[in-house]
Amino acid sequence: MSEPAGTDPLDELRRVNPVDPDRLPSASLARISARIQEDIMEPSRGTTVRRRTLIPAAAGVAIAAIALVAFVGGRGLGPAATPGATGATGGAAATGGTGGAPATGSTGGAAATAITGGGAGLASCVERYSPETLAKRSFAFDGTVTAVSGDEVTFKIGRRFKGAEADSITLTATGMTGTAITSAGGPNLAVGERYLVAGEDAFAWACGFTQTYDPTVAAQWAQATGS
Amino acid sequence: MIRSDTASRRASFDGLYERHHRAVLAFALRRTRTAADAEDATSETFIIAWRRLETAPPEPLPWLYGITRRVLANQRRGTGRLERLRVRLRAQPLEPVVPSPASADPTDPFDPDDSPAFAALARLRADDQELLRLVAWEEFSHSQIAMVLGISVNAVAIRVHRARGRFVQALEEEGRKGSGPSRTPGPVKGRTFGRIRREQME
Repeated sequence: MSEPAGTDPLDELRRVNPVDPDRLPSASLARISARIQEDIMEPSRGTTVRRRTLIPAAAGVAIAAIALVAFVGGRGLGPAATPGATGATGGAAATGGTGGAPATGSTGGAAATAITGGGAGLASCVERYSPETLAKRSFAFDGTVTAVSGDEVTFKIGRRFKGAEADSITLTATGMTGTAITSAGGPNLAVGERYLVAGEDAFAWACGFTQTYDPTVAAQWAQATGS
Repeated sequence: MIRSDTASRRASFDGLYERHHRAVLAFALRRTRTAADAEDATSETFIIAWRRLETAPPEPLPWLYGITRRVLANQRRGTGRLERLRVRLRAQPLEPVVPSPASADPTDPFDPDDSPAFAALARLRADDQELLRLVAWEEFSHSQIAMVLGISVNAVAIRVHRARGRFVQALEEEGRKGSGPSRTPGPVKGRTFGRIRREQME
């Protein structure tokens, strides 16, 4: 190198540094901060981080509270009850307060609907459990959990009371797999444990329709379903 | 250490962001043609950092710059997601910023366009430019540069030495090219920023 001692040709470059990090426009910084907040709070776009978080949308909590109160009061209807729902199926689908598609109609009217908000599922009870309402469910069985993956739970069926014509079945069991802040009266389903499970379509219902195995209750289920 | 429960994870991230977001934005601004691109790249960097928080080293700035470099490379390739983001952030299409930096102070006689150092840097190939930016603008040590580029410290030392030599040559060529009195650029610290038009930032 032929430079005189003490000079660095890169000093020329240092002098033309185009950005001073201490003098950045606050508007830019604000936009960046806002976008990051938004993405972190709504990680549905592919992040693998699974969190137990407080539900960001107050609506989800409010709807769950209303539904649970309704359940306890024995009315069995969600906050968005469809007028004229037939007594046979006991009520209406509770529609999601966070903009999710309501589960209606196609399942025969009533559903223990999962209301999602911010990635956490809530099951609200729209039917009060009783042997009569149990009998109306599309499936009911005595089974053991073989796998839990998110809200999806796989059961090995030991005894079927109604429906569930298979040795094994995978159901969505929102609110009963420990991924939600609240679970509306359902057990925390664990691999290897035995349960009495009832619900509609591919949904295991909470609110008493899924419970830890008990031989007395099992006998009631057998009687109620006439199996 | 980054702990995994949510509240402390969030606290760790907030600390990381607070300490380093300005440096990351500055890094991006020195390498993009528009303010929006730099903002996109900075946001993306920290969103990725949030997802990979457990892999952040104790000295995280070189790691963050490494992420930003990859984001910028994707940006230059015009991946759909960043393009859609840009459209989402702006109501109207971006006007391209002229490649030469704009002075933030119209009364400031210093015009980086006249700077032979800038012109000399632009003559170098991309790898050399990046090395010299990291040395002269980010003011990184060789070991920090090694972390950013994912190469050994020895390789950094060799490459910086060669890039510096090529820069000197380019500077001499720029000096020969220019006619008239050569300007001595004043110190740049004290201006808000150079490269991006101020109006586009607000």
